[in-house]
This record gives sequence, C-alpha cells and structure tokens, in this order.
Amino acid sequence: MRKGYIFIGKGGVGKTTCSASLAINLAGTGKTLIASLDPAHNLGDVYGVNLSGKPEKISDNLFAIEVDTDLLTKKYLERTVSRIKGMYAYLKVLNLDRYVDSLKYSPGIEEYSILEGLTDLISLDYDHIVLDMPPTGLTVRVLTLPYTALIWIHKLMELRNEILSRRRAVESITGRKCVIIDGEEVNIPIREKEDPVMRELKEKKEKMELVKKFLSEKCSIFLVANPEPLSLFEGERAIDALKNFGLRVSGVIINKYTADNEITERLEKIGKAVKVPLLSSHPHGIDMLKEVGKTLFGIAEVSR
Amino acid sequence: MALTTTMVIGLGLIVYAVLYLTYGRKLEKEVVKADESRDTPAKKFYDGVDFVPADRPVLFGHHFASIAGAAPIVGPVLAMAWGWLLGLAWIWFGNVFLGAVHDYLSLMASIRYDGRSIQWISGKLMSRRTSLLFQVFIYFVLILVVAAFAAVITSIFVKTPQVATASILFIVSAVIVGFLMYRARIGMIPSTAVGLALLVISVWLGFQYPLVLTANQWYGVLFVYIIIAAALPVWILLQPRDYLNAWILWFGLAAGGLAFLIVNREINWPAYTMFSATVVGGKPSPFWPVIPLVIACGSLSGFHSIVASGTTSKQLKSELHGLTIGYGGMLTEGFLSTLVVTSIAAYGMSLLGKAGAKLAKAGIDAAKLSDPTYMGTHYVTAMLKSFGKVGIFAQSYGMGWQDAFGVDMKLGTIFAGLWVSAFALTTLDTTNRLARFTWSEIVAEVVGDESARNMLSNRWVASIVAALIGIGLAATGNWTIIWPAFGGANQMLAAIALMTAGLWVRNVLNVTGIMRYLVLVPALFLWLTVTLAYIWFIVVVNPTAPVLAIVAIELLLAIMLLYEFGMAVRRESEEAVPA
Amino acid sequence: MTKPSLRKIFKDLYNFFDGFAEGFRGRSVEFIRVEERELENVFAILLFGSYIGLPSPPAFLSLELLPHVAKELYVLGISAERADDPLSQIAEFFEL
Repeated sequence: MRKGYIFIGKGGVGKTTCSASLAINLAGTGKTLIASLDPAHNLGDVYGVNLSGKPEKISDNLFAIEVDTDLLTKKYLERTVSRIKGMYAYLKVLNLDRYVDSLKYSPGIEEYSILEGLTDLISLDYDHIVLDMPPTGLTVRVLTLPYTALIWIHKLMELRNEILSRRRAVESITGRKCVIIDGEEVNIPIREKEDPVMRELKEKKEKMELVKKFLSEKCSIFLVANPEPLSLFEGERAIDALKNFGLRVSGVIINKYTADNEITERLEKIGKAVKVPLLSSHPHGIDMLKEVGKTLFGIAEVSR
Repeated sequence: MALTTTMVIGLGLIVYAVLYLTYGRKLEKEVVKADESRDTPAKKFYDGVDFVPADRPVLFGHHFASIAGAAPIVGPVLAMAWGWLLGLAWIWFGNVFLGAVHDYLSLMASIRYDGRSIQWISGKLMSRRTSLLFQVFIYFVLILVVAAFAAVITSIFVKTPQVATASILFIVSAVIVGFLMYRARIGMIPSTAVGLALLVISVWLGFQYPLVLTANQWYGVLFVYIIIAAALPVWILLQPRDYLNAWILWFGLAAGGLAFLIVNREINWPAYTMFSATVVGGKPSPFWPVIPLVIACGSLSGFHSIVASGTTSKQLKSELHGLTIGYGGMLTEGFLSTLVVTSIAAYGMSLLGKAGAKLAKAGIDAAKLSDPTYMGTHYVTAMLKSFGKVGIFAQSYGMGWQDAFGVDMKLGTIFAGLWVSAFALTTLDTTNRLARFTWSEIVAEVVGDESARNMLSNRWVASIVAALIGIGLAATGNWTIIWPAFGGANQMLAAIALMTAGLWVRNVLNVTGIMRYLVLVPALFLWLTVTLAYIWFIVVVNPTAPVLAIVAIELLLAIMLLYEFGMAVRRESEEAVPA
Repeated sequence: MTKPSLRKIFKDLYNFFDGFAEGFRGRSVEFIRVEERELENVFAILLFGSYIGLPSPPAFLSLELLPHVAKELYVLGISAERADDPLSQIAEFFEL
C-alpha cells in the first residue's frame, strides 16, 4: 500500500463527499480503496450504492467498504473476555461476561477497535487508501492512540523487565517456589521468553509501530471545513492536538465555499487550501463526484 | 583464684542456657501457651509469596542475621566505665528478663495476629495514638542512629586507617559479589566463596595500605556514600553487603567466642568502679536508670520487635519454634555483647597502659586507671583519646586472636574494625532509605503549597536532608550525648512493644494469677527506667538544641504512653484472639 | 546408651548449623524480594489505577494483560489490605 489519505473534520462539513470524490480521481492512477470508519456511515449513500464490511467494486480500480466497527468491538471484547474467564478462578469473581456491553463504552475501547480496523485495512493490497474518519474528537483520539499506547507500552516493558530480572536473581539463589493464590497454583514467569505479559506487550508494540509508521510516512491528512466559525474552531483544535504527536495536516479543503471572509482567511493560513464551491444540490453519483474530485486532486498530488 | 575470660564466657553461656530452659520455657508454656497444633500464619495463609513456613534452624539464621548490627558492640564498650560486672549484669539479666522476653513476645503476638506488626497490635490494644507514638519514636531513632554510627565509623577510620582501606575494598567486593550472585547468577556457593576470598584480601590489603584522612573529610565521604548507596537498586550494594555482613558476624562471633574461651586470660579490669561513673556528656551518670541507654541493643532493642513481626512471623512453621528463634536469637546477641565486655575486661588495662603517652597528653595518668574510682571518672575520655569509640574493643579482640591462635594482633583488630564499620555502613544505607519514606509522609502532612510539596518530596531532597541532619549532628555534636539519646529512643520503642505484649498477655490471653505480672511488671519497670533517664538527661546532661528538643518531646510522649497504657488496662473486655 | 545419643547430638548440631547457613540464603535475597513486590505493586497500579483516579493506559492494554497478572493483582490486594500496617511490609529495612 503506497499512500493513505485521511479526511478529518466536524460532522456535516462534507468529509464523505470530499473523500469519495478524491477516491474516484485517484482510481485513475492506481487501485484505490475508500473506507468509511465513521460508525455513522454515509459512504454508501454518497455513491448511491449498498456497501458492506467487505470491499465492493464501484468502478474500475475503485473499491469501497463500510467498516463495521461495532461488530469489531463486539468480537474483540468477546475474545478478550473469554481469555480472562479461562484464567484463574481468582479472576472469575469479576464476572465479566455480564458487563461486556458496558465494557464496549469503556474509554478507549471504541478508539482501539477503529484503530484495529484501520490496521487491517493498511495491510491490504491497494495503491491508494482513502479513509473517511469519524467526527473530529474520536478521530483525533484514534490517530494519537498509537503514540500514547507506545509510550505506555515502553514504560510497562521497562518495569516488567525490572520485575523479571529481580525474579531471576531470587530464583537463582532460592530455587523455584510455587505460588498459591486462592487455592490455585499460579505460574510465575521469570524470563522474557516465557512471560505472556511481555509477549502481549511486544505484539502490541509491533502493531502500534506499524500504524505509527503508516501515519507519519505514508499518509496525508486533510482537514475539511466550512466557512463558518464552529468548523474552524474544531478544526484548529484538532490540528493542535495532532501537532503534539508530530502529525501535520497536509491541506485544508474549504467546502461549501461562497465568498472570502475572515474564516476562510484563517483556514488558508493553516496550510495549502483548496476551495470547493457550494453546489446547488448535494453531489452524488460518480459523475458529479468526479467533477468535485478534479479540484481536490490538485492538493492531493502536491502534498507529497 | 583469679577470674578469667574462660570462666566469664562459660558463666555467660550457663546463665543464658539455664534461664532459657527455665524462664523461657515457663513463658512458652504458661503465658503464651504455645501450641504445635495451632496453625501459624505461614500455614494458614500459605501463598509462596510472603507466607512460607521455614524450618527452625533456617529461620533462626534468617532472624539472627536480621537483628544483628553494630550497636551490641558499641554500647558495651562505653559501659565499661561502670566496671565489667555491672555492664555484664545488665547484659545478662536485662536480656533474659527484658530483651529476650521482648523479642519472644513480639514474635508470638504477631503470630496470633496473623503476622501483623507490633505497631499495629499496639494500635489495637491501646489506641491509635499509641501507634502514632511508635512511629514518632522510630523517626527519632532514624535521625540519631545516623549521627551515632557516622561518628563511630569516622572514629574507626581515623584511629585505624587500615580499616578504612579494608572497608572501601569491602564495598568493592560487595559490588562484585552482587554482580556474580544476582546478575551473572553463578550460584550462591561460588559467589560466597569469591566473596569470602575477597574479604580476606580486603583485610590483608588494608593491613598494607592504610588510608589516612581527617575526621571531617571522612564525614564528607560518608555523606556522599549515604546518598549514593541509598539510591542504588538493592542488588548492587545493599543486598550483597548485607549478606557478606552475616558471614562476618558469624565468623567473628565463633572465632571470638572460641578465642576467649581457650585463652583463659585473667581479668584485671575493675569489676565495679562507682555507681555514677562519668559516661554521658562528661557528667556523673547513675548506673540506673542510664545503663539501658548506653548498652542499648546489646541487651534490649525496640527494633527487634519490628523485625520479629516482619518476615520472621510470616515464616514461622510451628509455635514451638518461637522460643528458639525469638528468645534464643536475642540471647545470642547478648552473647556477642558478653564477648565485647570480656575482651576489654581482659586486655583493656594493658592496652590503655601501652597508650600511656597519648593519655598523658590528655592529662590522664594511665597507671592510676587501676584504681576503680579513677577509672570510673576517666575511662570515657581515656578511651576516646587513645583508641576511639570502638577501638579498645577492636584491639582487645585482636589481642585475643593473637594469644589464642598466634596471629598478629593487627589482623584481629582490623577484622573487628571492619566488622563494626561494615554493619554501621549498612545501617546508614537502610536508614536513609527509610528516612526518605517517612520524610515524604511528613512533607505531605505539613507542607500546604502544592509546588513546594512536589519539590520537597523529591527523593533526592529527602535523602540529602536526612543525610545532612545525621552527618551534621555527628560532626558537631557530642557523641557521648548522641549515643545515649539514640539508646533512649530505641529503649522507649522497646517499652511500647513490651507494654503491648504485657497487655496482650493480660487482656487477650487471659492469663491469670502471678503469671500476668511476669510481663507487665518488667514492662512498667522499663518504662519507668527510660522516663527517669529522660528526665535526668534533660536536667543534668543539659544537651544542646536538637538533642534537647528530641528528648523533651520523648518525655512528653512517654507520659502520654503511660496514660494510654493505663486506659487500656482498665478496658478488661477484649475478646479472645480467634484460635 | 551414650554412644547413639552422642552421634545424635552431633547430627542435630550439624543439621542446626546447616539450616542456620541456609537461613543466610533466605536473607541474601530479602531486600530484592521486597523490591520485587513493590515493583509488582506499581505494575498493577499502573494497569488498573483508573479505578482510583490515576491516569491509566489505553483500556485495551489493561484488558488484554489482565489474564496474565494474577500475582501482581494479588500483591496489589495484599498491599491494600495491609495498608494500615506498612511496618510489616518494610520490616527488612530496619537494620540496626
């Protein structure tokens, strides 16, 4: 997968329209997949096609998919919970399966599922992947998740190694002791190789680094905004948040443009801007979108 | 027939053995009512983490290594001022009726309270305030012990520079052993072999290359040492050095005991000099109530109650093992102190005679020291001017080795000096770590401003402040005042523990009749002794600001303690400990 | 009957000193074990501290590591249970 294109912006500014338009034009230069990661999917509506959790062919070289993040979350939690239940009786007290539904809303689980969805996508064989993201708040958390996760993983791995090395020191003197918790014998790993915690941490580290690499090296991030205050403010805040993690916005798409005003001036200051005029009717269907796409193509090309 | 070392050591062993078998057993059977069939916490809560039953000799070794320190040596040296018989009397009878009882009951009470500390138990049996009192006395000990031991170490290093070299090399050896044992993990026996070999080399090289610095320079070095040592992960220095210390102790005790048993040298030190020998702060110090403060850990130590209710109580396999480990462990420590007194009683006179020139400069006539009254008033000055705070013991020990085994006395002297400084240095390290912990608690309570609090509770700040106070006090204070002040805090700590044990026996175990008083009376006697010592300290010794403040606060707290104790005695209705 | 009992005495004495030295073995790792327990405590707090208002790692880390940290949770539990008796946990460091 050579290039990624991420569209962020407040709900209703026209992210899906813009991303759909760009995708059509990109398809001319290579095999393109456009994926909607927004739990409230609009992609199918914009193309006028029924989309599913598997890539559907829209036209030559263009495929579209609406990722079912809810299902991903559900499956993820089921897997995790069953592994927890399979563990020590000691932990059964937590009675997790009755709380799977509320776990779904645990801070960070939704972000992680979307990130997993994204990770799955970037491993597919396409020249271009266009990503229609959820509303700004959630998107910023998703995009910055690899960075914060890696900081935690690094710290936890460090601490884990400190623990393991002390266990090794003690074991070499007193021999292996068996630990009994609540009547059950518990295995105490002392080496990295036999430690499931380290294994998990390493796995997650590789995954997060893969995504981080993708985001920083192969992706262009586009802010879609309207010439009105709220979408500007939200956009600026998102850009600030992403900047802390070294993620830069490649370009600004001023959608539903009518005339220059102080909002559009500020938007143009953010970066290379493109103005998409307000159309008399909502663009839909391949041909209309292709027209819109021509304008966008410009910044998509130049930004790399 | 003259009294010899062999007789004294032999007598000491007999006294301890007889009282262990009679008094100790009586405590076990009729007071504690130790029962093999009652599960100890090690069995009840077995988890392989903290609660693991250990065999009796193993736990004895573990416990003894934990309670061993430098204090049982330092105290008795100072107490020689009253004559060897008085010092020994406290070491023998104070130990058997107070010290060992204190250790044993702390252990057994902890066992019956699921491995909880004596501080917690005191909170339950008296009041929460008592538990806090316990904590305050611990703070005071932590401050004073650094000052007391730093002065001792410096004195050893200045008077016997060979020990300084040996100590530094010992630190290097410990680091090497730590690496081999815990990182390279070559196994305990090979690492120990290397460690012991390095120890011998350290002593020998120390012999060859003494390191001469001034006292203040050593204080500076100690300051830096404390900060660095307390910041390192334990496997690097603290753990391996503590381990090697245990071997030094074991060897020193065995070799010393053997030496003074077989050498059969006559004792020519005055048995009794005078009741109020000049000991503390250059003032006449009445043997009672001051003796516990001077001998401190050699006969009774509050800190042992903490150790007993730490790992030991969580690893005791059977209630019947408690006597050997708790009571017997403390008696063994008493044996160490007996050794110290005996060695000085045998060789001290001649050593002081040999140092006649130095003593003359200080205005002391060495020949007159054979007169008990002269000895009583001039011993402390003579000791400090000639060999330093522990030196007279180290030299006597060396003489003992020479006469018994035919080795150069310098060797034994350096070994003994290394022994004391090794333990003292470990104490400085661990105490600084503890002080950091308690410092951040105090800061959290007292400092309101958040940013100031964050800055102050930084662990480096805590470490430096604690070290500064300790070293500062050591360098500027009067050691003959600081040492008993340390002893005083330690002994009151023991009083709290013993009073708690007394309450446990009376209220909880429901022991009736005269057996009740077997613990209560000694506990109150101890409280009275230490409190009177505090008063005497403030009024007669009149120490300068920091020590005065500490002792004054301790006096107030002692009175508070008696009040709490009294209240608890009134409260008869304690439910029996669940079996 | 003196011969067998003398041998027994020596054997008992030997066993005693052997065990005594064995006690040094236990003591030789005591500080390290205290450190290990403290680190395990911290590890568990880092993972599940959100329940007491501490910033926590992304939920997926805590959830997926949960099955593997039984001992750490146990140590956390004991620490919390015995929080009113800190002395019994750091008793090793009182080396006087």
